[in-house]
This record gives sequence, C-alpha cells and structure tokens, in this order.
Amino acid sequence: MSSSSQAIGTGIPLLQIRDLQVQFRGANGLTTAVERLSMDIDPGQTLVLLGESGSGKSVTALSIMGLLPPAAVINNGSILFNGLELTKQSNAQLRNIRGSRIGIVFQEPMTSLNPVMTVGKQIIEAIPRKQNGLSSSQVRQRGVELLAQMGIPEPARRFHEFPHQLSGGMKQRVMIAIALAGEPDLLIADEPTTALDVTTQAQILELLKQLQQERNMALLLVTHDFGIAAQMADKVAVMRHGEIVEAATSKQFFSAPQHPYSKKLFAALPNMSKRGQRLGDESLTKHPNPEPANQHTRDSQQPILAVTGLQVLFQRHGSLFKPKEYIYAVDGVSFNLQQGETLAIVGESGCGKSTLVKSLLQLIRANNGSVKFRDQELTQLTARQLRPKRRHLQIVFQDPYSSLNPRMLVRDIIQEGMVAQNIGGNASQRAAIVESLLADVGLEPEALERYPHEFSGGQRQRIGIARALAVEPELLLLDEPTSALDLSVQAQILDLLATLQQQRDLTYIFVSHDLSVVEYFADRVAVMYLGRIIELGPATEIMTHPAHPYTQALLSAVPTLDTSDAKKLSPALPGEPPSPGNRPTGCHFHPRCQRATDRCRSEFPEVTQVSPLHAVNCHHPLDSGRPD
Amino acid sequence: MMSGQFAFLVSDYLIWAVTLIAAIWLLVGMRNSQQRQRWQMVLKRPTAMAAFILLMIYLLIALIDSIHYRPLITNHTNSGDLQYAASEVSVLDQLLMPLSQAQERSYSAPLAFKAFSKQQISTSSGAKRVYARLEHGGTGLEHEQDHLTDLLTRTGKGIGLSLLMLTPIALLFGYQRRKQIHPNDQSSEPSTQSPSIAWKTAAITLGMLTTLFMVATQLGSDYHLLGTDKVGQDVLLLGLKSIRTGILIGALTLLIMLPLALIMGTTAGYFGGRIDDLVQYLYTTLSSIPGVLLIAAAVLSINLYLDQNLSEVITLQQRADLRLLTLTGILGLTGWIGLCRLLRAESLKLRELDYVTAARAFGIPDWQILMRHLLPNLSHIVLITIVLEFSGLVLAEAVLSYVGVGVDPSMNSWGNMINGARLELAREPAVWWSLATAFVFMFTLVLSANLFADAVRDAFDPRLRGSQ
Repeated sequence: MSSSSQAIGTGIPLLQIRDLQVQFRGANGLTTAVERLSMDIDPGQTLVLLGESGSGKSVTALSIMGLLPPAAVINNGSILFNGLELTKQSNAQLRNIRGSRIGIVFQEPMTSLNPVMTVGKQIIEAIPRKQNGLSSSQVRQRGVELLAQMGIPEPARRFHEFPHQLSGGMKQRVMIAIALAGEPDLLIADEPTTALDVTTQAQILELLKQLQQERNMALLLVTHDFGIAAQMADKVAVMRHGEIVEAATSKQFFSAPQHPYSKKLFAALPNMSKRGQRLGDESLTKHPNPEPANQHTRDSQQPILAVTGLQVLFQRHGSLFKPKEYIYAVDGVSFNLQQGETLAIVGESGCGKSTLVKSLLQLIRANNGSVKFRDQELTQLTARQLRPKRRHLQIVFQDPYSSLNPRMLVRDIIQEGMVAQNIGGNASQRAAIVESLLADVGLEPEALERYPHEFSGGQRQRIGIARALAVEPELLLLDEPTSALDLSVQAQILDLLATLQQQRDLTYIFVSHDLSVVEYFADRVAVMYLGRIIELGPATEIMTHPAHPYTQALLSAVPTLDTSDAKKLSPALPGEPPSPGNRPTGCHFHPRCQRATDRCRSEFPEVTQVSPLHAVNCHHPLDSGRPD
Repeated sequence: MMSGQFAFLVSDYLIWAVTLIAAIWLLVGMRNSQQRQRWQMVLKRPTAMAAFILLMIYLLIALIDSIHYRPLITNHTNSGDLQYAASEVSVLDQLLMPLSQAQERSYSAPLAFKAFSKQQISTSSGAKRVYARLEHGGTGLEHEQDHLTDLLTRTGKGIGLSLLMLTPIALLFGYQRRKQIHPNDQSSEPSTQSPSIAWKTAAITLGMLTTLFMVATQLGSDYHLLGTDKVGQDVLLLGLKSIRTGILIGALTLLIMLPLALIMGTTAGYFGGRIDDLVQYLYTTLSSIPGVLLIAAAVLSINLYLDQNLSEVITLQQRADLRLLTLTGILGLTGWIGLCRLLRAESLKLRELDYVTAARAFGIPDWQILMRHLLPNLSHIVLITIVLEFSGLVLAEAVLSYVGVGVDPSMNSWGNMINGARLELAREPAVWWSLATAFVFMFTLVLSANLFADAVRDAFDPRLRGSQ
C-alpha cells in the first residue's frame, strides 16, 4: 500500500515516514500500537489519517512530534522531516522543531488551554521571538494579528480574556493560532473538531483550509469522520490495528475504496439511501422490512405520548441585590408520538435536547405543560404515583462508561429495574428473563457474572439497552446512543435497535446531533434551537427540503462524501449559538439568520404547516420546504 | 495463673465489639467469590502481607490488653470472703509481669547494667557518687568487662533457639510446597496467572518476628531491652502497653466519625437543596472553631465533671478510660468534616452520572440508590481516608497529650511518652530511648496501615483493576 502513496508525492516530500513501529511497554510485555507505517506528505498537501479508535492514528501523530508517553518506544523506522531524522533528535533539538516547524492542535479545546493564563499570553508564549528579534510590543501586535487571522471578532479585546470567557469554537481557533504562531511547515490536527458542534466544525474546517492555502502549509489531519476526510483530504490513509491498510488520493478512495476494511466502513456509514437496510454484517441479523409494518395504521391510533407546551426552567440563584434569573432550557415544546415510530430530536449542544428527555421521564419536573403517556398525565403525579408508570418509559444513555455502575455485576445491573418494578416473579424466573434479554442484545450468557469494565464500549451499550428493556418499556428514549461509538460499532448498535423495535413494537425518541444517523434511522425529526422545537416533520422531507433557515444551515454544515471541487463547504452559519440564559427576543434564531426581518426580532413565529405533516416556526420559511 | 474477677472497662467492650463486627463482616464477605478474590489480590502483594501480619500483631496485643480483671488478693483474714484488688489488671499486664516488676530507681540506657546517672552511695569510707549497678540489669555479670560478651552470647542464643525452632517447620513446608508446585517437571514456571498469596513473605516476616522475640526474651531476662524511664519503669513495657491506647484512639474515633461523615456527606451531595445547606452550615461553623481549642474545652469540662461527680464511684483506671472515650468522642465529632466534604463533592459528581439517572428512571427509592450506587463507589475514598485518619489520629494523640488535653497522664500512651521526652532530650547526655521507642512503635503501626491500605485500594477500586 505504501508504494501507491509514494507514487502520489511529487518532488521531495516534506514528511517521509518509513516502516515506523511504535510499541508500548505494559504489564504484559510489549504491545504494538503502530506497525510498518509508511507515508509521505508534500508541502501544502493535506493527508487525512482515517480510522476507528485504537487504530494508532494519534500515536502516529504524537510520534512525529516526539510527544509519545514515556511507556512508548519507537523500535523501528524513520521519520524524515525536511531531510531531518526526527527519531534521532534529542529532546532539546525537537523542542526547536515543535511549534516553529511543526504545529499541533488537539481534540479537546477545553483542556488544551491553561485556564489561569490569558489567551494572549498563551499565544505570545508560542511566538519565537529570539529568532525574529521582535520587541515585546511587536510580539503582542503579532498575537493580535494571529487572532484576527483566525476569524476571531474583536481580537484586541479577546487577547486579554481568559479561556473560560470563550466558547468552544473560539478556543479551538485560539489553539490553532498558537499552533500557527511559529509559522510551521506542517500542522498536525488530531481530531480538531470532534468536540465541537456541526456548525462550528464547518467554521473551523473552513478556517483550516483557508490558512493552509494562504501559507502553503502541509496538513496532517487525524479523524474518524468520513465526511471531514472527503472535504479536506488530498490523500487519505486508512488505519487499522496500527497499520495503514489503504492509502490513496481522496478521489480514488471515495469513488472506489479497495481494501475490504474500507469497504466495510463505507457500508457502515448511515445515510438516507440506506434507510431500512442493515448497516453491519447482514449474516448476523435478519433483514428488517424496508417499511415498518405499522406505518399505515399510525394516524388512526391514539398517540402513545402527547406533549403539549412543555416548559422547563432552571433557576439561577438570585441574591439580595439580584433578582432571580430563569434559564429556558425547554420552552413550549409540543409533539405527538405514535406507537412504533421513531422521532429524532436534533440540535446543537445546549439546545435542551437532554433536558427535554429528562423532563419526559419526569426526572426533571416540568414547570409548565403536560406530558401524557397513553392518556395518563405524568407531570401531575407524585413520586409515589409515578413509580409504577416508570417502567413504560426507559432511557439509553450516550456514554457507555458512566451509564453502568462499575461496582455491580452485569446480572445485577440488568435485574435492578425488574426488582424495583416487580417484574418477572421470583428470582429464578427473573434470571431466565435476564438471560434471554442478553441473547436478544447479542451478548454471551457468561457476561452476566462480569463487571462492566471488562467490556468494550459497544458491549456496554448493549448492556445498557438490555437494562432498559428489562422492564418491558413501550417507549425508549435514546440519548445519543451511538455518538460515543466507532463507526462499525455504531452500525451494529443501530441494527440492533432496529431489530428490537420491530420485535417489540417499541417507540423511540432518538436524540442526536449526528444528522446522517438521523436521516438513516428516524421516521420524523424535530429540530431544536434554544429550548424550542422550530421544525417538525417527516425525516425524508426535512432532510431534503428543510423549511427553517436553521435546519438548512445545520444540514449544509454536515460534511458530505462528495469530493468534487464544486461541492465546497457551504458558507457556514455565522457566530455561535447564544446561551439559553440570554435568549434573543422574538425568533431566537434571528441574529444568525440572513432572512431575518423586524418582525423576527419582535415576535416568536407561530407554527406554520408547510405540508400536512411538516410544521415550522418561521416567519419566512424557505420555499424548498414545500415539496412540489 | 492468678484467679480473679472480670472487670471489663467500657473501652474493652467497644474494642471487642468493633473487632467482632469487622471479623463477621469480613467472613460474610468472603463467601462472595469476588470479594475473596480481591482479598487474595491484597495478600498477593508481599509488602501488604508483611504489613497485614504486623497490624494483626498490634491488634492482638491491643486485644489481650483489653481483657481486664481484678486479681484475687491472697487474704490473710480467714473469714472466707474473697477479696479482689481495687484496680483492674489486663491479661497483657499479667504476661508482662516480669517487666513490670523489674523496677529500677530511675533512668537506665537500653541493655545497660549500670544506672544512667550517678547516685550517692554511703560506704564505710564516706559518701561517694557512683554509677550504681541496676537491680534488674546485668545481675548475672560478675565482671563489668563481660558485658559485651554476655550481650552477644544472649543474642546468639536467641538466634540459635529460633533457628532450632524454625528450621524444621521451614523444611517441612518447603518440601510440601515443592511437591505441590512441581510434581514432576522442574521446567514449568511457577503459576503466573492464578494469584498466589505471598506465603513466602508471610513466612519470612513471621520468622523474623520470632527471631526478634527470642532474642528479646533472651536479652530481656536480665536486661532492660529499651532502658528504663525516669521512675525506673521498663520502656519496652510502656511501648507495648501504649499499643492499646493508639489502636483505641484510631478505631473508636473512626467509629464515631464514619457514620456522621457518610450520612451527612452523601445525603448533602445527593439530595442537595435544604439538606445540603444545613450540612454545609454545620461543617463550616464547626471548622471555623479551632479544633484544638474545642477539644481542650470539651476535655477539660468533662474532666471537671468526672472529678466532681464520679471520683467516689470509679477506680482510677475507669476514670482514665472514660477520659479516653470522651477524647475519642470529641475527636470524632470534630474529625468528620474533612471526609464529609470529600464525600459530598463526590456524591455531587456521582448523582449526575447516568447509572444513577437510570436507577431513578426505574423508580428506585432514594435510599436504595444511596446504598447501591453511591456508597460502593465512595468506598475507596472512605478506605483511604480511614487509613490516613487512623495514622493521623495516632499522631494527634501525641500532640494533644503534649498540650495536656490528651489521654490521662496515668495512662500509657505514645503521646505521654513523647511528652515526657521533652525534658529528657534537654538533658546532657540526652535520654533518647523513650522517644525512640514511642517513635518506632508508632512508625511501625502507621506505616503498616498505610502500606496495607494501598494494596486494599488497588484491589478494590475497579477503575484501577481495569487498567491492570
């Protein structure tokens, strides 16, 4: 495979890695993290390292920087940077290369910045002043310039602010500014947008592209996201188990992947065209019907869940001198849900998705509005009255690591709810149910006597699903059930959820920020912005013909697999989502909306029916929202 | 053995109760195979094994010292009434009788045969100041120059005796082990995957302790192994008797502190709101009062009460015992704050975790969530704090005794020994052995506790186990 990547590079590569092997010393001897890795990056080129977690992407990036943890050893191979052998350099020599020749941006902007130093000081630190002989005022000038180049408004003011005063996207921009302060020839970006929202991600990716063109800088981008790879890459290298299994130009790779593993990953990518199909290995589970069997009977039925005017306020503690403030986490949310249906709730972080889920479960009590489950009003029940009802609504969490008590056996975890809800009669009957449940979610019976930490993320998520199903719920709230998982594991879990829904006639509320999963999985979509549902309708319709400008912006910010030059990253939504504690008047979206008028600034739009099933809260809905 | 009447002190009951509860809890826990495996993991580690044995010996001494009785006095009246001594004696006192009876006039250095300071002796030729021979040190010595030889002979004899005792046992066990591990082939490595308990370390530790014991008895039969104090008491005896005080202060204080900290910390963190406000108010108020001042005020007022009301009814030892109990009580009432804060903070974090949300979504009552989801996940914090506090309390006793609000001055404790050493160290040449003895005894206890707890934490914290 490495021969093909050599063929692509013309002239002298900026970075040339040959037969790199990195191993970790551990209790059980050496474990290999990276093996036989060879790749080239030319000046000004973008190479995307694509792979699932644990495939050795980050280790590769760190070994170029000489930042490997002490337990790691480079046993073999060479890393040539501009003809300089990096593996042979001393730490002091490497320090001169880091920052000034090679810059790096990490995934987590929240922890990459020092919280007690101003942004400016941290940038100045990275500016090599000795070489350039700059005075301190010049250095400051340079820092402000850098911030301006990163597209940060009011750079002179931001320069003196602390990291906590900036949003996540801003912080990542600052991180890039720091990485670029030394004007490096190569920028390594290790999952730079994974912690960010999709609209912010689009902004950052655009920024990276633009900076790269301006400076003719090479970019090594580490990611797990195929869309990002397609948008950014000149060359793609797919990693698996520490090895590069396929290396090709972006066009070749995305039009015709060669390696079986790459093909498997492509098959696991959810999108609209695969609706109703299996994503994972088809031999494992049986094929579901393309259309859910109960689709046609839906409208005639009573809704399983009816939510009207739901409002959840958080109180910000007032004091003697300050009046109490309210944060509108969820405001005026209404929707109906039919049996067997999947409703997706999408929106950026902080839009109130998780609060909505918790208030539906009555874990957070709503301040206003009603939640009716099969004609039973839940919001008015006392905790005692609510207890027997709880079995009907269950939840599956995002983080498979914090959702299982590490001190409990899997058997006890799954049984816990059954015992509390008095399901399954005596202990032996319960044990039988637990075992069959475990089989249903695709785990071996031996798993029962083990602790959660002995399982992988995907297996833990299966345990979490089994726990929720143990009390035989009718409505399952899935709070980002796959966003912490790898692509191939996500495919398995989505397949499992589809099978279970069919077998048990389950109704799903599927919370997600990943629009490609939503368009694959959901029947209907509700788009949330600052605590309100602004658009609600059938998934196929919303995904193709959004009526709300925000929905449209969200959709266009998702990187697609289209590598043709015509499909550039569309102009991203400007700015950041405002905080729910300080909502704009009128339509909350108006400050970021190009179509906003005076009316949008003063009054919140009522529901407009774009089509019989498609509703939108917008004074000026997009025409595309009305299908022909 | 002298017969007598059992006269348990309050603290005796408490320490036995704590020990029994702990033992039963452990035994019940051992039925669970997971628990058993974890304890095996603890004892797999050589340092933990050695620390465990030392801790057990300390506990054993403390327990033996906690069986008090009033010995029968051989009555000279022939009335037939049995008469018991007015003060309580423990089984340990009885065992250490030779040490307590070997009373000197004043200081003597470890293993000395002469007094530490000169004494006025009147002879026929007038008064002379000489280093007098000890009454119970080196009595067998005929010539002074034989001193070193005598010490060496006794040491050798002690080592020899212990070797004589240990070698057959060691050979027997070694033979059996070899038979078990290598039935036929020598090539197979000792089983690496199944954790084997560090028996070797245990054997070595016990062997060394036996040797130490044998040498000590050989030397101690005619010498003061660790010298004598100002009033001529054997310092080794003082050190051994102080073990009970140290263990009591540590264990009973924790007994009072733990429930307070656990209940307040977890409920404050989990429920929040008014309960949290109340608990926070309580501990900020308490912690803003200087701890030593609070302890001093409480101890002094209780002493006053004891003197005024109960001095007729109780013996001196009972009085000292009550004073010790009040001290542990007050230490417990002031000491829960640190742990409570930690537990509150951790509970605040845990209650937001998804598995707690899942439990709430199942409609599980709050107290069950507290017991099942919070407490087990707090146990490593509790465990670590217990050990740190235990060590800290043993050390705090010394400080408080120094200030004069610690245990009763008549009670043997390392604190009192160190307090006494204040003046001893100012002498020229200095009397160092009281301080050294207290230090060694305390150091061994605290270090063993810390090492043992390290291993326990590593074995019981699932996050650490996952990384192994």
